Amino acid sequence: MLYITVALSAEARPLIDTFKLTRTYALPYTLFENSDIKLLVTGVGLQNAIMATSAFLGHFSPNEDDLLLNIGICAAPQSFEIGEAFLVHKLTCKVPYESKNQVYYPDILFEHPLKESDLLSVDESMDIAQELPVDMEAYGVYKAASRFLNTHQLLFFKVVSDHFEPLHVSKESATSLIQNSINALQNILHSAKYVTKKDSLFSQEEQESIDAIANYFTKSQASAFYDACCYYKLHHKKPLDLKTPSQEKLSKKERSIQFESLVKTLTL
Amino acid sequence: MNHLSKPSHSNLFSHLYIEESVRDEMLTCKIMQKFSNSKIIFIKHYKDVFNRPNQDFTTQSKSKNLILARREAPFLYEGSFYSDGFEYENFFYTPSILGCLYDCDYCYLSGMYNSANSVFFVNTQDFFDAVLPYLEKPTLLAISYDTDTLAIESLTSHTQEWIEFAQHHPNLHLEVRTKSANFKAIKSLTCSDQVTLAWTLSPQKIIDLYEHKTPSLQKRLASIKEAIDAGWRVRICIDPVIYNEEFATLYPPLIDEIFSCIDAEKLFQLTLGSFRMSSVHLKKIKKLRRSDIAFYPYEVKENIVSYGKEIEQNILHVMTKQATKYIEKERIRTWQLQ
Repeated sequence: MLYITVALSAEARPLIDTFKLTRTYALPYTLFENSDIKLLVTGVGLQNAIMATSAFLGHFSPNEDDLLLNIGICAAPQSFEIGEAFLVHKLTCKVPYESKNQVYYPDILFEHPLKESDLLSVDESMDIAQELPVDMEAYGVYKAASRFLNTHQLLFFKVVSDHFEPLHVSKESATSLIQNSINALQNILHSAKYVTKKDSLFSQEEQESIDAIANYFTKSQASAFYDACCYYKLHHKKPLDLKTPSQEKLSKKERSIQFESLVKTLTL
Repeated sequence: MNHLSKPSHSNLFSHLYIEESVRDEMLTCKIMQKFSNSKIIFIKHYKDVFNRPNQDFTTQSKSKNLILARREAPFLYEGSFYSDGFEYENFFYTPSILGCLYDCDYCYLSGMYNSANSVFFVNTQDFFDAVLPYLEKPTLLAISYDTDTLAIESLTSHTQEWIEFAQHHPNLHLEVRTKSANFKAIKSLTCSDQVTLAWTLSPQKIIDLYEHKTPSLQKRLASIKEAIDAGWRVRICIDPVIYNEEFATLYPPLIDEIFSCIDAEKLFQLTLGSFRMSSVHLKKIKKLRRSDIAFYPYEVKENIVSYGKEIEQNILHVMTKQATKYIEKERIRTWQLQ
């Protein structure tokens, strides 16, 4: 699953059209989805980003092969062109209520053709030139999302809207800037998804058999049995063919014999 | 769709994290120059990156990055219980590099660190200063402990600097443990009896299965031969032995293969030992779920997992018997828990 957060509906529009997302009402936020993607409009600012991202990921409980994308426009120094898209590898913030020392580093573990940069998150739009690109949400998104996802599952894709001239930015220009970056975004997502992809060790059928047999054992036996199943799969790289015990209830002695025999067979 | 980006980084160290306090150090500049295509990220403290919560060790292993930093004390640690101290009164290891370029499934580093990245501390002189007070007595210092220094030598010159330092301090003995085939990196140095180059070897099948990104057995043997021929003191370590149903067909032939190309007379020592690990580290390695080694039904005794007395003794018996065909028992060291 790809989870997307944007601050503005205007930034969401090109994504909704490209990925053919439909509006749903599972949360008290503007939410769109299809079978592979969920997109949430967080609202502007760090506090909104923290609260909305927490609600979003808390509600849907992402897995270890999911990805969170925060996409949006930002201001940047003259060394960035208007419309230039980049990825963020360091997130800092400058607001009175956040610790100045906390810095976040998303892992970018794939090759890509875009620029990478630090990003400063602030609470009000900036009309004084800064040395770094500046937005109003990314730090908050990371702060909340890092409770749910690993460092390489967090992706921050920003598009430069202005050189610290916020009055020059309109809803229409925000939509257009994101729209123009869609191809670059899709390339990035392809690579990021490849990196986050994890194959399950067991098939669903195998997992069900393991769970069924583990029910016969004590907690520590079940844990050792599970380890033995992992050993078998990783060592032999063959399907696991487990037979559940014929009796419904086993005596303590029968259980121990069954356990020892199974572990021995699996780890021979 | 035309995919411009590649699925994962093909180049080593796509990102260099550099502590602001070392950004102007000579070694930092040299490494930055060498990796001029890498993205540079300045950081306050190496732990802000290396110790981050929620890092995925397995995923990071496919795309390792480098952190350059300044180490604060302690610069030395007492040698580990899991290692041979060779009866030296002082036995230390130095944590001047954390993390390894190689990616071995049985390595305790994946159970010890949150990160698959490497940290290189560029303030080498501080490590030298920390050793000096101990050098009135013979002191063994393992410089390749939480890493493989020779594997990263072309970047750091770390082994070279320690060897040159030892030349001025006769009581200092260095152990350089490696799986690399990189003897050429120190070939030009004057060989010294104060330095033991300790190569870890495994059967090629075990290398293929578990020692990812390491050089082949053939390449390691060629490097060992070169070192011995140049007069260096070389210890071969078949340690850890990974036990499975193929043990008898993989490991004794390894000994034959070693001595078919290495002159046993010129070998300093042979170390034999079976896999063992702290149960705390193994618990963490299990969570990575990437290797059968983590899930073998080991025996646990005083927080150490091992194969158990019977298998361990069998391993050492078989290996010692085979090795003594080539080398006298006095030069064979064994590591046994039971």
